[in-house]
Amino acid sequence: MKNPSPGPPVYDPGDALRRVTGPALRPGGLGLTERALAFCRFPPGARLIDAGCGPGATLSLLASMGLEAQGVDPDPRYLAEAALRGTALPGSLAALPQPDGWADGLLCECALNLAPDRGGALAEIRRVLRPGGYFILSDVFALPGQGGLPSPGSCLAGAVTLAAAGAGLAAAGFEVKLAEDHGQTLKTLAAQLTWAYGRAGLAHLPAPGGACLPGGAPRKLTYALIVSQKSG
Amino acid sequence: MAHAFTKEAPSGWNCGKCGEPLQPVSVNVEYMGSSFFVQLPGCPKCGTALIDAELALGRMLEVEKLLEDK
Amino acid sequence: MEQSTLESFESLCTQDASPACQSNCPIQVEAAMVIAHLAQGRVDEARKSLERHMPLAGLCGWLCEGPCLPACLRGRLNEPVDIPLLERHAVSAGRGTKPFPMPQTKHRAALVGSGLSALVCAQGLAIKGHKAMVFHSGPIGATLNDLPPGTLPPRALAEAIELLEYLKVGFRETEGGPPDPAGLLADHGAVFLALDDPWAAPLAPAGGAADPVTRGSGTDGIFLGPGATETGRVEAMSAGKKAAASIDRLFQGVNPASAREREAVGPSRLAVDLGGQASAPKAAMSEPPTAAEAQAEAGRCLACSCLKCLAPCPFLRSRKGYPKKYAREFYNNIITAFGIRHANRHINSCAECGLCGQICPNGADMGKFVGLARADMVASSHMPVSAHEFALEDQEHANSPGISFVRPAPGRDRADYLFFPGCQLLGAYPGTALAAYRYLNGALGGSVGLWSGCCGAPGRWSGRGRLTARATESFRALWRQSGGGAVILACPSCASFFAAELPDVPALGLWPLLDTLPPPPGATAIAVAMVVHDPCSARLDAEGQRAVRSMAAKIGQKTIEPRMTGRHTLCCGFGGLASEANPDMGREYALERTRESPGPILAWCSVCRDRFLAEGHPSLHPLDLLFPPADIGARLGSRPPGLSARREGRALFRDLALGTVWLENPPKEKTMPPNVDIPGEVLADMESRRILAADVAATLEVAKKNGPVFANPETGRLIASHRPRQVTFWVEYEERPDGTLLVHRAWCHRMVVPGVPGEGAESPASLEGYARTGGRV
Repeated sequence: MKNPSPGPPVYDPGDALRRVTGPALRPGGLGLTERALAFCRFPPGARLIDAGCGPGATLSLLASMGLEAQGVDPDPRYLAEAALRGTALPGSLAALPQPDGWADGLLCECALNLAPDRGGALAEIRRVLRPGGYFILSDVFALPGQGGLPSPGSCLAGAVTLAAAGAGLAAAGFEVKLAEDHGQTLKTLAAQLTWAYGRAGLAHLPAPGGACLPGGAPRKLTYALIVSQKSG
Repeated sequence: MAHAFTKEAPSGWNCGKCGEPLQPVSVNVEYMGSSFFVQLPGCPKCGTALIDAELALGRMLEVEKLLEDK
Repeated sequence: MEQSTLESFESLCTQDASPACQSNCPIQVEAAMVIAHLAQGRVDEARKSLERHMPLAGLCGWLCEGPCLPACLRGRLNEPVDIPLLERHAVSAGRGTKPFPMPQTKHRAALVGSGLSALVCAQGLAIKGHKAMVFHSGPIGATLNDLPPGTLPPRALAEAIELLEYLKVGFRETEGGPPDPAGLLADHGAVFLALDDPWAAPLAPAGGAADPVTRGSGTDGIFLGPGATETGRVEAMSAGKKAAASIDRLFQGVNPASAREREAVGPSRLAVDLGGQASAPKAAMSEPPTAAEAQAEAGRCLACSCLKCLAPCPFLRSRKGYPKKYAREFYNNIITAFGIRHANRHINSCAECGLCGQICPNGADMGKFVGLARADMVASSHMPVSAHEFALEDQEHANSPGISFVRPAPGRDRADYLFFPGCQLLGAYPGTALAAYRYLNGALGGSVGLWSGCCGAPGRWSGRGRLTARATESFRALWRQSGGGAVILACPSCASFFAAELPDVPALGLWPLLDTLPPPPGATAIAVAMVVHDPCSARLDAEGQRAVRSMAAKIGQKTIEPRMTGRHTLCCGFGGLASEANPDMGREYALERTRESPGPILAWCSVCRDRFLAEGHPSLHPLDLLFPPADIGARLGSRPPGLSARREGRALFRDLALGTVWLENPPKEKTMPPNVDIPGEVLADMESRRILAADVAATLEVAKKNGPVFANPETGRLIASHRPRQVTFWVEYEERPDGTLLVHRAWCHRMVVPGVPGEGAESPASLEGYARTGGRV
C-alpha cells in the first residue's frame, strides 16, 4: 500500500468551525448528504467510502441507513473520534486504503479542494469505485470570471468553476448525473459564523473556519453538489 | 476572545405569560433565505425568546447586513 | 440591463484613456508607467515597462527625441518632464530582459538597408518567429555608427545586433547597389525598404509615400521605412514597428489595415485638471544624471489622470474606483446568477445628484447609471427590502387619506394655482408652509389652492417604476379634479420629479414666482452673511437659483457663494435616498457642504437645511426669512424635527389648514396616545434607527392587549414586542403609578425569530430549504 500523504492542515484546532457546523464541518451539514444519498438509492449493505471523513458525522448517518461505510482521513486526531462512529482508516485522496473496485459509492464532502493534485485524486477515486459506482462530490466552487482566491491551505484555494469541475470529471472517466447549486448554504454558514464570532472576530479565527470567509463574506464563491457515475 | 455563542440569559427577567425565569433556548432564526439554529435567552416553558438591544443592534445587525448584500 | 448600456456609459468615462505622453508617442510607450517606477527608484521595472512598447529598448532608449514633450502637461506649469533623459536612465541603469524566442514559422521577410527602422522591423518580425534577413552594405546600423558616443554608446548598438542574432535575424553583406525589391519577393513573403539607410534610399518609389497606418508602398508585399521628410529617429522606429506588424498580419492572412486605431498619434482623451498642482521646476542635473537626480526628475511627473468627479463626491471616493470601474461592478452585480451580489449597498449609496455628470467633460453621470441598476435590481427582486423601506413607507404616509388633501382656494370651485409645499417642508415646519400659502393666495387674488402630499420622488429614487407609475396616475387624477391649474412647487426634488414624470402638468417654481411679488411684510434678514446652498435637484434650474438670490437681496440678506455652487452644487445626502440606505455615506455628503461653509447656510430645500442642522451647522430655508418664526435665531441653531415629529407635523398641517383656512373640522389623525412618555434622548436614539414614536405606541398597544412579553420584578420594567411588517420592534418600559408608560429604550431587527410573539407564521425553519434553493446548473 502507498503511504498516505498528509494533506494541508484542515484540523479545526479551536473547534471554531465545529461549534457552528457540528461534526459535519461543512456548509449545508448533513442535509446535502441526505439529498445525494436519496438520489443514488444505494441498496442496504452497499459499500461506501467517506473520503475526508473528519470526525465522522457522515459515518453515523450511513450506518443508520444500513450501509457499510468506511471513513478515510489523514488526520489522526479526527480518526480517533471517527472510530467511535464507524470504521475509520488512515489515508488521503492521494492514496485510499481500499482495493480496486471495492466501493459502490464514494462521498467527498468539502474535501476535494484540499487535495494538492486534483487530477490524481479523481484517478484514485475512480480506482476504488466499481464500474457504475457513484461519486458524490460537494464542495466550494468559484464563480465564473473571478480572479484567483486567497486563503492558501483552505478549501477555497483549490476552488474551480463548475464548468472546469465538469470537464475534469469527464476527463477522469465520470459521467455527471446531478449538478445543483447550493450557494445559499455557504451564505448561511457565513451568517452562522458571523453570529457566533462577529465580523471583527472572524478575521482572527484560525483556518478552516476563518478561511471560509475571506473578508467576512463568501464573495466570489458558491457551493454545489455534483453526483457522477464511474463510466465504462 | 469572548464568543457570544450562547447568550447568557439576562438576570431578573421572567416570561410575561408563564412567569418563568429566562434560560437559554434553541430557536431557528431566518432571514433572506437562510435559516439556522441559535441559542437565545427565552422562556423554558413556552419558548418565547428575547432579543435584547445589544444583540439586535450588534451581531444580529451584522448578520442581517451580510445576508442582505446578496 | 443590456451590455450596450454599460458600454455606452463606459465610453464616456475616460479615466482609462492614455495620458498625453502616451497618446502622442509614435510607438505608444507608456511613459507614465516608466516614470512612476523611476520615481520609486525601481529602475529594472522601469526598463521592463519601456520594453513593453519600445523594441530594442537598449538601443532605442538612447535615441528617443521626445516627440511627446510639447504635449506633456507638466510643461504647462514648468518645463516638461525630461522623458528622453529618463528613458536613457532606465536603459543605462536598468537590467534588460531577453525576449522569449517564438517557435520558427515558415515565413521569410527581406529587409533592405540596416538603418534604425530595419533593426526595429527585424526585431518585430523575429519575436513573432518569422525569419528576417537584413541585406546591408557597410557596418550594420548604417548612420547610427556616425552618432557621437555621448549620444549613443557604441556598446548599445553592438548589444542590439547581438540580441537580433540571438533572435535568429540574418545579416547579409551585399556588394554594389541594393537588391531589386521585386526580385526579393520571389523567395520572401514581404520586403521592407529601410530608406533611412542612405544605401537603400534610392529604392524609394518615385512620388509614392508610405501608407501612414501600414507603411505599405502601394505594391503588394513591399513596405517602406521613413521617407525623405520623416527624418526623426522616433519616426524611423515607428516606421519599422508598424511595418513589422503589417508584415506579421500579412503572413497570418489578416488585413494589415484593420484594428490599428491604437497606434494612431493624437491628443489625449484624458481630462486632467491642473488646478491646485504645485509648481516643480526642473533642477540642474549632471550628465549623465545621478540616480537621485533621475528620481527627482521622475517625481515631477503629474501622473496624469482624470478623476475630477471623485474630489467632491464621497460616494465615488469610497471604494478606490472611478465611474467606469464602478459601472462594470454594478453591471456584474446585476447579471450575477448565483452567489453574492456584494455591490448592492454601494449601488444604493449614490445620491444620484448629477454632480459627476456636470464635472465630467463627457457628461458621464454615475447617478443615471445607478438609476438603471436599481430599476434592474427591483425588477429581478434583488433589491434588499431594508434599503428604502422607510422612505417608501413615508411616501405612503404623506399620501394617506388622513394626511393628504387637495382644496381649491376658499370659496372657489376650481384652482387656477395649486401650492404644493412638499411632504418634507410641510411636515417639518407646518406653520411656515401654511404662512407661505396664505401669502401666495393673498398676493394672487385668492386664486391659489393647496395640495398636501408626496410627489413620489422616493419611489423613483429607489428604482420602483411601477410604484412611480401608480403615484403619477393618482396625482394626475387629483390635479384634474382640482381644476387643472398650474402647480407651484416649493421643493426642487418635487420640481425635478414633475418635470420627468408629469410633463403634462404645468408647474411653476416657487422662487421665480415669489420674485415677481413684493416681499412679505414680516420678512427679515440675519446679521451675518449666509452661504447659499443650491439643492442638487435644482442644479440646472438657473432661473430658480437667480430668483432665490434676488429675493435674499431684496430683504437685505447678505449672501456668499460657496466654491461648489450652481450646476456644480453639492448634495446633502438625501438625494437618491443615499442617507436611507447608507446613513454614514449620507453624513459624508452633508459634511462635504458644511465643512467648507464659513457661515450659516441658506438652503432652499427643506431636507438640505435639516440635514445640515443635524450636523450642527446653523442653517435656514429662505421661507424661514420670508415668514420668520417668533425666534429666528432659535431655528437657525435648532435640531431639526425628527421622523416622528415630521409625521405629526403633516397631520398638524392638515388640521391647521383645513381648520383655519377652510374652516372644516377634519377628522383627527390618530397621534401619540397621551399616556406614553418618550424622553427626548430615547426618541433621538430610536429615530437614528428609523423607529417612530408611532411604532412604539403600536407596540405598547399590543402589550396592553396581550400583556408584556417579559417582566423584571426586581426593577419593575417590562418588555413589549411587535412585528407589524418586516421589522420586529421591542420596547423596554415601565408603568408609572399614574398609569403613564415611560419608555426606556426601543430597538428593532429584521431577522425572523419564531418564538417572538407574532412571528410564527413567517418561519420556514426547516431543512426543506435545500430543495427550494437548489437549482440545476
